Amino acid sequence: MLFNSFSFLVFFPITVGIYYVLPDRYRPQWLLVASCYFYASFVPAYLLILFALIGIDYLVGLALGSTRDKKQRLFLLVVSICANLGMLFFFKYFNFFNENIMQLAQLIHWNYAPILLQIALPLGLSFHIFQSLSYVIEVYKGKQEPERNLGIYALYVMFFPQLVAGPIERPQHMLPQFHQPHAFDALKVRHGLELMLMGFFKKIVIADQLAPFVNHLFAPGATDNGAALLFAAVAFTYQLYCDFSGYSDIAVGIALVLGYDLTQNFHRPFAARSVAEFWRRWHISLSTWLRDYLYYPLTFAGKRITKGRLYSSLFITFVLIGLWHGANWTFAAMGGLFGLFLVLSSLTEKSRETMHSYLGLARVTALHHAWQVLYTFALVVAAFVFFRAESVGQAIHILWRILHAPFDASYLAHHWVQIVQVAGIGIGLKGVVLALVVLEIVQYFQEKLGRPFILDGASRLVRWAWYYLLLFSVLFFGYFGGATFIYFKF
Amino acid sequence: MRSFLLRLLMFILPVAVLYGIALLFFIVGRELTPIRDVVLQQQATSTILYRLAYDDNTFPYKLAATIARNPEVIALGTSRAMQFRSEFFANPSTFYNAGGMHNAADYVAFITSLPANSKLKLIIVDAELVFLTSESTPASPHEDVTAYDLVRNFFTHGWRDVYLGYFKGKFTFSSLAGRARESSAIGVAALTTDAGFRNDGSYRPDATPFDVRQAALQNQITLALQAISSNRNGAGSSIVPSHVDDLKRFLALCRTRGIEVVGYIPPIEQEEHDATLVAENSFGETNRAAYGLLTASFTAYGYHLYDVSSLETIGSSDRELIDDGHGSEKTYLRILSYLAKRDPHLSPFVRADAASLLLKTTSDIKVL
Repeated sequence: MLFNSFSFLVFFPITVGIYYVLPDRYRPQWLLVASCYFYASFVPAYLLILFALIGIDYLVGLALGSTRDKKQRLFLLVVSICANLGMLFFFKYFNFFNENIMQLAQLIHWNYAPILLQIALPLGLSFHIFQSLSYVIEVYKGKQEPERNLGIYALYVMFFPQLVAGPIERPQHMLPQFHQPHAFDALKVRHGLELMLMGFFKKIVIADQLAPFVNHLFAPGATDNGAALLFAAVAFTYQLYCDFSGYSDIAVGIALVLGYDLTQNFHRPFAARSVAEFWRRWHISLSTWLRDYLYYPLTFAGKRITKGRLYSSLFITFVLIGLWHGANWTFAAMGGLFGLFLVLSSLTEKSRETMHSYLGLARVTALHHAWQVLYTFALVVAAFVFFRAESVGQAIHILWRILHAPFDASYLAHHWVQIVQVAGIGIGLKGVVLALVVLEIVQYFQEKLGRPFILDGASRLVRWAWYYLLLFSVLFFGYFGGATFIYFKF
Repeated sequence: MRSFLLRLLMFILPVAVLYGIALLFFIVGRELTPIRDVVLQQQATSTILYRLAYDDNTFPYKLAATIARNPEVIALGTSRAMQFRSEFFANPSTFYNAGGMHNAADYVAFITSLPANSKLKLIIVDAELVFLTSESTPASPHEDVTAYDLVRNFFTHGWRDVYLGYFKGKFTFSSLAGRARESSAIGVAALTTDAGFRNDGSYRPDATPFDVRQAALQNQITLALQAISSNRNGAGSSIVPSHVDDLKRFLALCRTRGIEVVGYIPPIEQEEHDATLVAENSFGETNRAAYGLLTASFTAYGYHLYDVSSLETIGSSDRELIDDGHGSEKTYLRILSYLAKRDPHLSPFVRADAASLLLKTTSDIKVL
């Protein structure tokens, strides 16, 4: 059941209505039932995989709570990690691994017949496995008490707003919330609905409208024109952002309506002035997860932290961030590229500072910041070309054409009518650009005020006008039952 | 909580009004009539037109009607098959027009969905070159439209399309209500344009005057010739092997079920036809390759494919076209006569005076 589907439009008010009518003690159970229904609406059989993982990690958590023996605890942790990552490998990476072995075998003339599985990746597997692992690791570290209530633990993994595409939550943040009563809070509900509206606006009015243009221009052999490909790459970057952050806003909003706080997953990422800052603002729950459970352990594992260890840890972490997105070399290349940007950025930090002071950029702060934002955005766009491309070869070709092909902006004007016809959409580029400008203004004030609800102090008239603007944009331009969210496949 | 819900209701009120008005249009336009009822009503009388404005449910509608009527002969194809009428046949009740599919995969799904005891003996099939290429249209929705689907479609996009239609001046509430009082047609499109699927499944086009139609045709020809010479604006096209497999699966399925198939490549406007034949680009090459593959596939399964893509072949001309890609009923009567003369499987079903019907009409496009 997609958030942007008619089914969800029916499911959501019923779920929320019953939730608030029920006494407090039955609410988690109701949420668990609703979450099971929500997940089963995609493919019911996938529930079994979730139940298996929940069962294993719940038992491992209890066992960890009952022993202080270091070896036993380590063994239990390894069991859980193997079960979780084994499941992830089986469903997500098995075919990829086998195909690569086959290609290697062909190189050395080894007659290797790979077994390719005809199975679909369970929805959101990477998300809930990371959330489950987070629980087991925290219990192992002694930073989280084992959860004894199986229902509550199952809800921690299956809470429907964040079940299929995060945010990836930590047990310390979520488990206490499931034990607390949640009285109806009108302000929270209003904020939740406002966030949901904003999420739908991002997803339906921007991302889904950009998708046909992007799909058309990224189709292999569609165009070799540098201007068109640059347009496609920038459009995809915004499409991806609005799609995923739109989903996250809806997820956080739904949880808020029910009285729960989820982690904000995005924080105006395209205002970042470095790639490192970008990753502190983009998919925050994933980047912090990998920072805490992979990058720090890799970096601080030895007695001495050398630059080599630091950089290799950084690079490995980002390649794995890439591969987390999907079993394809394009994702590994994307992660590798981000890792490379970060390593190079660190290596050249001093020389860049010297150059900046030589050029006197420190005296023109606004210009300096604008330049940093622009080049960071350019690097992000370049890396995301690998995210969208069908193959590493196509991504390199696109980047090559953007940099080397004659920059003929008239191509777009010339072929615009055809692109719009193929895309078959009504809002057009002007509409999307206008929507993006509105979004950027809202995000600017969100950052400036330090809160996502910028109209909190405004009169009802102003707030309602804003809500109606969002609502009617969504209703007029939305198609509820169509485009899935990009991150659902991860 | 109560005051919050009250405010929420007040906030939603304008949206509810907006939806409510659109719902009125839907109800008056009989847009929400279930397919089962449409088929029953069309079987009961002989004149009810059916055409929704806001949904594509042609596949389940045609399938349900075919199953209900259980014909011996059907026309299966795209909008370029919908002009065959039951009156062209010796016994009109033996024919049903199942035109309105999108590609060969639709054909497979359609034949597979027919009951095993179906009386179907012969299919006049629209064999489109484009079916085998990358320009093929995606398959149409196959599932029957349930009451839930109707409500969902209304809430998700139908309500909006009503307003678009209204503001484009296609209809007003009073004009729609007036038509609904006078006519038993089902669907906003059928009521407002007097066009739609007849009881025999054929499509009645709207009554655009001849000169308007011809002027539009000239414009279409200019654009199409440009597109052909520029290789479909640079997009070109190519043969898609899985599409070829779909066609073969359809033919194999008919062979297995003992159904005769008479294929035809439907006509297009003559200048466009001639330009496509000689186009020296990937579009032209793909069309020629598709032609070869179509012919070979029909032959491989022991069926005949007739090329009537040139209007001259059947003695027709641009004057008989509805638009550059669609012949009129008159064109299709010519096609049927042409096929019946050459195909022994088809000829027993076609009325003997089919060719002479052409002489009886004075209209450029209408036969009966």
